[in-house]
Amino acid sequence: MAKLFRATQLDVGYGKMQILWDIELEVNQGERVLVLGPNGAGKSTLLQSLVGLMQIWRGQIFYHEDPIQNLRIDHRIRKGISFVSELGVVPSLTVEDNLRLGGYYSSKREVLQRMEEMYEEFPAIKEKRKALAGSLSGGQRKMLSTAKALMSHPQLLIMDEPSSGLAPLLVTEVIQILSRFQKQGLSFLIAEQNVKFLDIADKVYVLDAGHIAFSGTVEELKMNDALNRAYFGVSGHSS
Amino acid sequence: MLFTLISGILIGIFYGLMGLGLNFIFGVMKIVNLAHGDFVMLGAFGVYLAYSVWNLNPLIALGIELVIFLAIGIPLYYGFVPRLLKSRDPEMLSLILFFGLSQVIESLASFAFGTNPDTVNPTVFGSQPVNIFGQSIQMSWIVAVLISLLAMAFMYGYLYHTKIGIATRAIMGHRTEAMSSGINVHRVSAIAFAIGIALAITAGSMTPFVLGGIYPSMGVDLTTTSFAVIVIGSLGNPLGTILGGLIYGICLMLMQTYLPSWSSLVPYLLLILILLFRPSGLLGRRERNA
Repeated sequence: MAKLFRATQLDVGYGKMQILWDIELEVNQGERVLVLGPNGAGKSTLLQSLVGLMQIWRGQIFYHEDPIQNLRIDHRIRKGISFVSELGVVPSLTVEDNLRLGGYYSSKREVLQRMEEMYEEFPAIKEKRKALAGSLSGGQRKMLSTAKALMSHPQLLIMDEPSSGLAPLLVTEVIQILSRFQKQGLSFLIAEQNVKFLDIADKVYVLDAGHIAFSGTVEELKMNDALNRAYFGVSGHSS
Repeated sequence: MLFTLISGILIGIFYGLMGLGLNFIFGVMKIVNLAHGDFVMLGAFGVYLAYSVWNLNPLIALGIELVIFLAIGIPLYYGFVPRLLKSRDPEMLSLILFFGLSQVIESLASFAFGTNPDTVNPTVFGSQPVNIFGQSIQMSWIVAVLISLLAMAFMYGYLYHTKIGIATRAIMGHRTEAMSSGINVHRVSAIAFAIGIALAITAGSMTPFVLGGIYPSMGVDLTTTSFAVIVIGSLGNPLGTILGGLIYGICLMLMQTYLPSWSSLVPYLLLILILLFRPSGLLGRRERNA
């Protein structure tokens, strides 16, 4: 598989406090990559530094093998990377305006066409197109944030805790939606602490206190006794 | 009473324009431009200078001023605001920094124009009064109101019918989320800052015709009045400013008619009342959290 996105020897921190150490990470085309870790492991910091919301201290980030670590976030997005933050939407804008924001760098015609496609994929938000995003339920907001990020036709979707604040049933729905888009060739890099996302992952990185503690396939993760106990309980993951 | 109400609405529209620039800058950057009233004052003296020296029509002078101050606004943003926003408490720091800028502008204006009040002949737009519901209103007031309405319509079109308007409202709603969506927040904010200054200049250009005398130290009072207007409407919501201006204008004219010696208290009284009973302003929004 062709390399799409790669980070190497990343060190990141706030002020003088280092949060991430020597991060190595890779996403190939069409791949679903999960960054698994508990609260405070540095998952959000990692994603924010990858998309350009945070300055990195050291290391390099490549997209299609071009270095992008010095590019501003808007330039990274124009290249085909989309980011869904934990909030994911602007609450004071309507659903429609959030989608327009997602397609900010597309032409008016492209935006209208893509918006209709998104309404087909996410009928729940179509009914609320004139409502403020802040008035939506948690599940609807999550749909909107995904649709907003997809408005720019990204090749890589980076998502920060898509299951956060969602009921288990809605988590399953989010996973199903992401699977649909993966079939269309979209690559994912998802930071999560919900192991349910392992069901769709091709590759897993486990982030522990700012270090990559594991990288490999889901099967390899399940064979690692310590991580198996940490993430699936003492008795192990039965399925 | 009818005259009081009509003039209250007309002057309220003008005050709405005066508060608009301050609220727009606060809404986008969450900084308080304490030099706002001084930019209004500069707009007023620009028109005064153009008229008294070159006998230039105030509307042409306004056009020239807008070009100049839009061009000044962008470098002024990049010189001050990004540094402010990186600080731990940008709102507090902005108060101090723009207070300093206000003092500098006032001192330079005093040096250039002296401290005595000046004005522009209000009949420059015509000496025939306009009849509104049987009441005679000066033509210069009508022009000031039309300019104010035009500026407000421009702002509405800019915010709600342009691409950059969506980006601007996104930054006003949630700066980090706007950045996460790929918006170049500094570029959009710099344009917003320049527009905010241009709105102050526009209000200033009409000040000699609505308020009469202009003088370099008037900026402080104008900033206070603008602040009252935007707090009444909703801090950070530019369109709420129009409502704030109308309420302020009507209250001011009622006080000037029935309790003239108390009328200077209007901005402070309204500020206290709103902050006590509806701190988010009359158009302040609540949103669902779950």
